[in-house]
Amino acid sequence: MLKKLLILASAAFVMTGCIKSPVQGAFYTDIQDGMMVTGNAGSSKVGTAEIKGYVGVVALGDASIQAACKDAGITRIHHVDYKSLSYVGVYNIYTVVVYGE
Amino acid sequence: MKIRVAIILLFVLQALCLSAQNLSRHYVSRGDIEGTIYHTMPVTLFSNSDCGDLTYDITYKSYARDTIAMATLNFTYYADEPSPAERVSIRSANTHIEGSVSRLYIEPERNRWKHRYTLHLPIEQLYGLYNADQSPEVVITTQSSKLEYQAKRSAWREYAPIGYKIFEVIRLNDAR
Repeated sequence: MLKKLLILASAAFVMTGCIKSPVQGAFYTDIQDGMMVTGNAGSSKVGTAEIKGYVGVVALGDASIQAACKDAGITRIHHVDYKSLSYVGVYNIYTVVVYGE
Repeated sequence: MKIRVAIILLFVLQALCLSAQNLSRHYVSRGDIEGTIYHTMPVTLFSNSDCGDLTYDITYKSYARDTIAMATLNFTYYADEPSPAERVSIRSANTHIEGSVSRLYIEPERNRWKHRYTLHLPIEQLYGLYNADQSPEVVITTQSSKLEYQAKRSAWREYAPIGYKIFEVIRLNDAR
């Protein structure tokens, strides 16, 4: 039984491969992290863009910084974070969050 | 075998429960020298039988110097033809939000037109919006028609307590 659980955990871990994250949970991941900081001052707008992955087989979306800027009308970036969410490696969401003016 | 499946299901359910209870999944907040910026992640709580879903997110920055605290509501809707919006109204039993909107962009997406607009409004108007028992209605006034969106009941009931809690956090921590 332990062997099968380990195999399942390994499979789940492999399926979370599309998620960028310094730390990943085989069964559940819900993290935020920093991606980039610029020298621009101030941020009053926030834009997001995301991609979704299903069962490690299909992945769809546009999580580019440009898409997130467009989402909120940002022309000057202050900093960029990202969020990563994964359920058992079966359903994954990767979101880029851009702060700026 | 049944016990093994039960254990796996337990892990999955625990993960889902953790996610549902975790408020941080639904909003982000960052402080800087000017104040704290709050942003609710995009949600799809309204739909129209012809136009499909309406997705929106809200951003608020608590500047200590402001006399009237303004939030920004960005929303996306779809239509078969380009339908530039002029005004938006959100109405429920206790809340009436209305204002002129500004265009972020209009572009084709697959076989429809995607419209992205923004509305600036006083944050106080949003404090009473999230009531699980009162589903609001959204009306987008375009140049040629009115698009009426009804709240998706189960989605609204599920999200309203989360939205309420997010705006309670904002209200309690407001710098003004």
